[in-house]
Amino acid sequence: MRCRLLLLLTSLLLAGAARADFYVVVNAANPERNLSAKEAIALYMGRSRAFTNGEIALILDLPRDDPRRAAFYQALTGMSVAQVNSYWSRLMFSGQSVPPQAMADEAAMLTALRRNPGALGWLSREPVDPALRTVLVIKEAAVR
Amino acid sequence: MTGAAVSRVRGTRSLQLRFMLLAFASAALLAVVAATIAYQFGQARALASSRSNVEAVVAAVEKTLSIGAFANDPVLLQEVVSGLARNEWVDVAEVVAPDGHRLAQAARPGVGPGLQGSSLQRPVLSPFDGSERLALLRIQINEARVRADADREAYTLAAAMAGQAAVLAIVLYLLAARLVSRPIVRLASALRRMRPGAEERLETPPGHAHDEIGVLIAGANSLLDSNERALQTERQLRAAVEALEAQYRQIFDASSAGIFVVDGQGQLINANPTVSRLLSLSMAELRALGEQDFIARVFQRPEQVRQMMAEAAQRGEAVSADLELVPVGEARRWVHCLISVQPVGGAVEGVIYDVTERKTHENAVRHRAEHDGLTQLKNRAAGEQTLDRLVQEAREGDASLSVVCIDLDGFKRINDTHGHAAGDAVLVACAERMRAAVRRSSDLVARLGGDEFLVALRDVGPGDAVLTQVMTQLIEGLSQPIVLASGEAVRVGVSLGVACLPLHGDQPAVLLGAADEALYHVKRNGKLAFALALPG
Repeated sequence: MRCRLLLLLTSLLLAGAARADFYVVVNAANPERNLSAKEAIALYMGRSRAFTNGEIALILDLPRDDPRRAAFYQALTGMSVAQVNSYWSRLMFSGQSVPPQAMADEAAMLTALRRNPGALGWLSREPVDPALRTVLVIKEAAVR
Repeated sequence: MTGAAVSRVRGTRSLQLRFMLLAFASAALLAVVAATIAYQFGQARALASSRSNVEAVVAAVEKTLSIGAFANDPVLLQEVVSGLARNEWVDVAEVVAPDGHRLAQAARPGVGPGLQGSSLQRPVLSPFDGSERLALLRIQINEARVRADADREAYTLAAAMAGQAAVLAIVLYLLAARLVSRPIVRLASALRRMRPGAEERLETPPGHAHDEIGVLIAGANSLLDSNERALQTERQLRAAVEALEAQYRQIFDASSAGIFVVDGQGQLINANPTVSRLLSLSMAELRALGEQDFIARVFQRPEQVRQMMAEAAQRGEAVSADLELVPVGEARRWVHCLISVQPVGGAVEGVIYDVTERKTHENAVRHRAEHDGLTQLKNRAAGEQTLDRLVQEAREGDASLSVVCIDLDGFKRINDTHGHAAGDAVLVACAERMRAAVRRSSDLVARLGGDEFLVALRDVGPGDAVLTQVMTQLIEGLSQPIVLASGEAVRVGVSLGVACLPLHGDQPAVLLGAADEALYHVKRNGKLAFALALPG
């Protein structure tokens, strides 16, 4: 009984705290204006490595254990973080694919985005920096 | 006895073995049918099983495949299909892009590439979008393996069925041997050991009292019962028949009548000891007659016996007569014989009594009746009877016959002077002389009475020299002196009258009358002469 109550409280807390959208962001110098969810998945899940114009994309991510990252992938692919990790394990086993590069935190991600015109990253808050452009907004999925 | 060959039924004739062979044949047939069905069934099952095995394996790698296909990772895809191809159920596994481009392919070692036969196809879907087909997974199932599995399964099933059937057949065989065959064999050997008509009976083996074996044994026992009763009856009957036979034999052997049996040809079949005694032949001699004609050997006039046999056969009843036997030495022997012919087979039974004594007596009596006691010539009655016969014979034979009447002259005087004894002696001497003159035994000399005599000469007519010769001899012979016992000699005269057949008539009385008349004519005109009667 106590356990269930605790779980419920945690859920409410998380929902309240994490009830936010994710913003897929590129450098303002990047000609890419808009990304579809499918394109975003292709880029983040190793199917594609280039933008629409053919430029190689530098795909940025947060560390594996970051809770924001789990929520992002959940929202983007519908997969849990464990599934995503398993996915990458298989691809990395063959040595043909490389997972997105992990930044220390969102601040580091911002810095990298600002500095690199070919970079693609994601943020949990809409950036106000004019050097960056949001190309896709992902509604956070409900926690199951 | 039936012998050992029948006592044991061996080979395919044995019910037990036949039963077993049939059971085995049925089992084998069943196994073949079962194996055929099992093969079809097993193949379908093996195919289904291999499909589901492959599907399970595919399901296990589906996720990795879709990841590899999504990430365009040929190495990963190759890893996966290689893993699939290592499965024994899979011949070839490949992943093909929607545009037909082959992304990865692997074949089990020893299997060439190329897809044919039974295959399995699965779409490779995007891990993020279940409606997006990224590629197609094609798997060729190992048909040989499926078939081998099906075969193995079918063989196993068939072998199991066959083994089961064999075990069942053996069990049935043993049961049949124990429940049916062995009791029957024991029953048969018990029956064989039994003596016909014995009192022993078959025992019902325990547990068979109410089944077919029990019924069989009960049936056999009741048959033995009735058999025994029938045998007893037969024995009693046989004893009775034997006793009766012994009685008849005793009667046959001890009978004072001689009994013999001959066949139609007159050969002796059987005869009793009395026959042997009557015929003065030993039994051994009788038996030794063999194929000789018994009738001809034994009877004086066999043709008479044969006539009796024919008559008996014709009339169907016994025919009897007094018969003379072939004489032994001097003695004549007679038997009274009854002849009857058996209606079936034609054997002839003869019963003979010794009547020699009676016959001898009869002959003596007849002789006395027919002859004159003094002269031993035929007397009047017999003489007339013989004359009748001679006349009859002469008439039938168209022959002549002379009848002579003789009268002695001076006999009465001798009788009166010298006494009756002297008269008798004269008569005896005259009779002797007449017999000497006539000579032929077939001719008749009879004493009609007193001093009258009758002579009849066969085949002698009035013109024959013999007649004159006999007449002369009679006159001369009779007129010779006769010496009496006293030593005196006496002399008689004689007159003869002759009549001839057919000259003087063809009847005895007529002939006698004519001869008599001629005799008186001689007496009136002097004596010691003969005269022929005047032709009638």
